Amino acid sequence: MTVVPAQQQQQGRGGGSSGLYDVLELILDRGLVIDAFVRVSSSVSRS
Amino acid sequence: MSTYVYGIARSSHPSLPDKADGIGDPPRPVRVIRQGQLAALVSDAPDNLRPKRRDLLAHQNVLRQAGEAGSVLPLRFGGVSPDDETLAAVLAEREEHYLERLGALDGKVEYNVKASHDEESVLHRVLADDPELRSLAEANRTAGGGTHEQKIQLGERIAAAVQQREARDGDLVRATLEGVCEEASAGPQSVGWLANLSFLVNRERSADFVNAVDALRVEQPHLVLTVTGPLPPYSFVE
Repeated sequence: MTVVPAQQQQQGRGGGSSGLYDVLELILDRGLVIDAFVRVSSSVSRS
Repeated sequence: MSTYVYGIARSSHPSLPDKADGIGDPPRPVRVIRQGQLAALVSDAPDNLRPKRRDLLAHQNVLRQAGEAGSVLPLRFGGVSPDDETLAAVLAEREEHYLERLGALDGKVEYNVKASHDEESVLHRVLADDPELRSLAEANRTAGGGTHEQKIQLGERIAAAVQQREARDGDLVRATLEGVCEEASAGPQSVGWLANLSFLVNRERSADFVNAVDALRVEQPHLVLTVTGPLPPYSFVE
């Protein structure tokens, strides 16, 4: 299957992305955690 | 195929972003899994999921879209259920609890505020506030900078005054904005911020909140305040 490059997605929301940097710790460290789930991001260093 | 979960809403949520672009490259479409009175926003989980910028953005965007039309409990990035059935079982088991949280967060959004000092202005501020420190600085200056010892002594006293000011200003930011929010929560402390705070704000009072931050900027020009929001209420789901 041929896939159209999806690069344009990232650039679309300038405001959102500049804000994203300031709230990375919220997305990665806050929010609901469900015990029965695998935590993929925990295996990845944030530093 | 494991199941990536963005958030949990009521099944009566009027506009869940079904088929929206989710995480992955190419983006996996968002699906809705319904169980009792709850609905979960999910995608098929891509292999080797990592917290890359595009995926963090996708996670955030799905939750933002869903949050515009109704209450959603945002999951922390990276929550993957072994399969849809396990997720449905969790929803069934925790239904009452999640419904209670959805009710508590109805119509509310999170604003994150990070505060730091403008170095130059905070220096002026601590000198203006402490006549003794000010005359010490002036005496040193007229003495052509003073001896090495005097310079160090002055430097230490100024550093201590700035540090005190940081603590006071952190409290001030929190106390001021607590008046226009439902709940406040301290974020992780890190170097560079004198305060990292999240506020749960009634969506209808968003303008009041933003105005209160602006007023604080005017009153305390030595404070640099970075506001991000409205956000899904990450800090208030538990």
